[in-house]
Amino acid sequence: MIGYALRRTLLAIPVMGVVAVIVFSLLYFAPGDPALVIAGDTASAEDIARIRHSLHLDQDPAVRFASWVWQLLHGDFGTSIYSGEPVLHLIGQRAGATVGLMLLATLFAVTIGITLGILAARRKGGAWDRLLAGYGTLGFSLPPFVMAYILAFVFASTLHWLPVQGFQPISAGPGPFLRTAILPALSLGIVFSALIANVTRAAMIEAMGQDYVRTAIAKGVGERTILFRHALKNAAIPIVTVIGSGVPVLIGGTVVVEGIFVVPGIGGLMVDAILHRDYPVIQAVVLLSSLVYVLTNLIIDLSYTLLDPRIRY
Amino acid sequence: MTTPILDVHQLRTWYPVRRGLLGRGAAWLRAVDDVTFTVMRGETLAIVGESGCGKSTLGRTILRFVEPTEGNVWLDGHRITEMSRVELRRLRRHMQVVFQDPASSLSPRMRVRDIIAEPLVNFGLAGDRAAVDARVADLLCQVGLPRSAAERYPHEFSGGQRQRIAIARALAPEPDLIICDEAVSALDTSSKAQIVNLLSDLQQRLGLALLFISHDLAVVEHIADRVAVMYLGKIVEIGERAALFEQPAHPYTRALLSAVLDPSPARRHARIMLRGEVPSPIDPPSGCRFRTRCPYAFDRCAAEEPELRERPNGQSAACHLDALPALS
Repeated sequence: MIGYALRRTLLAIPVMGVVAVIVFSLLYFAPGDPALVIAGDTASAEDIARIRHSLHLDQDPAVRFASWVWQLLHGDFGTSIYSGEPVLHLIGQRAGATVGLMLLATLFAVTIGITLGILAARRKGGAWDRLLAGYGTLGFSLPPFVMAYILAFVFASTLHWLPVQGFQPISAGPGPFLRTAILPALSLGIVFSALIANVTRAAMIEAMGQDYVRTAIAKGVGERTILFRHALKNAAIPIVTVIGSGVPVLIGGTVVVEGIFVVPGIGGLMVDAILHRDYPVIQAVVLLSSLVYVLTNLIIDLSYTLLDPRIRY
Repeated sequence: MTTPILDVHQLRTWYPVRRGLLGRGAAWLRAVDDVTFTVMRGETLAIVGESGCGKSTLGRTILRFVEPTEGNVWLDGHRITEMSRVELRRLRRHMQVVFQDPASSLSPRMRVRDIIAEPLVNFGLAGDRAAVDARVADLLCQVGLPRSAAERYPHEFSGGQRQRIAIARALAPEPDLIICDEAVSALDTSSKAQIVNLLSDLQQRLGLALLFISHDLAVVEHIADRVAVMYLGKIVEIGERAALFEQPAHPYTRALLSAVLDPSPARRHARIMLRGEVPSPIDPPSGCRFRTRCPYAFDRCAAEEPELRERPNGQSAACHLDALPALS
């Protein structure tokens, strides 16, 4: 098990290497020259050349890649071209909001998704099952930004229950954080919960049709114990897998949702960086998002051994 | 002692089937259609028939995993059809089940100890943890498994061992009746023999009644006291094993028995080949359901459904013929 964990962690290194190459070459494939953006419209050719030189844009790409990776390995993500601040500092300022939002969204998604999935699977074709069919279709078809506007319209503009803007970080206390984070987290979480609910329903229906569930009925086990102890435990693997695979969906969704609810998170930083051709920031955010995804997958793979005693590495 | 432990009376399990694009419940699949029999305490009744004849549905209906459409089932004098869920849960203690595939009937997520202990705890049959452990060890010993098996998971065992676990689990609440639904069909020949011997052993020791659902006539001949033959949801012949195997009174029973391979070449007999396919249980033939494949069918068979009638050597068969023509 520990050997497997180590091997899996080592395997993540080449993956991150490939990601680094792609992220770095973005600079060369993407249109727009950061030097031109910084210098502005009135700059002379000489100014531009000076800026290019100060950003090392005139060096050989291979040399620059090597020194970039070297710096990364020392924890140096470079300096923002636009603001002049260290990238890591910029990310550090904003990571808290995004991580808080994503965790809350995941919490909503998992709670709503698993509950709905179990209720639907309990009686196939019943009221809950039909409700889930509608919810699933809606959740899948509505992108998070539409959901965000609907929620903002209903709960903020019309009912005035919750604010649209003025995000409070979790360090401001759980009350203010929840008040301002519920709507963005729900916008992200509902789409995700539809995904989880559908997988939970399918996995539960499959488990409920197994002989071990019939055996449990013969044992005189109550419905709740059958659902949770016998069926859900056996349905856990696909559910955990879909939760893991939803993380990139969440990362993509935060960029948009943060914009709508004015959350000072990584998403906003990323959008600004793209508009300003602020490559060090773009590269760092993409690299860190990939790292989060790779780590999530690693954790999920390792969790299989805890979830199913038949799986041993 | 004269009340049967299991009394099944005119039991019907029909499944609604859709027909066409919009048709709903327009037709019924008659999986079990008017089945009546009893099982006495300590007795083994085997239900045989080819796949799709409704024998598994019959077992599931008796256990009320499937709701019957009509008819009644009494377990030790208690009518379990029309019992509420709560009453039924209490009564389940007396009626257990062993399924065909122990790989799927034992939850892969539970240790053997928990699998066997769960019914003890549910039915309040054991006091403290030590008592449960002692009972689990005792049950494992009864089915010939080591005490250490308790701490392991089902996938760590072979097929035959897993079926022993399933049997230990079924024995745990000290039932009066165990329904074995193809309990040995998935096992290889040597474990099959061991499990059959284990079952008849336990039965004699504990006075269990077994309802042994199987398509394997060789196994049935070994374990059953009485045999019921099913065809398309109905019992076509039922009687003492010896009488039924010696002198089948229904043409279907005769054809089934002729398909059993006898290990001794000297005793091999002519195989009766049946024509055609089993008709659909959605549209069973009129009159006798077997008439479309019966070598002896005549006019009356299409017009009138034969009742189960007692025959001179004790068994009952649903055939208009009083005696089957001699085999050429």
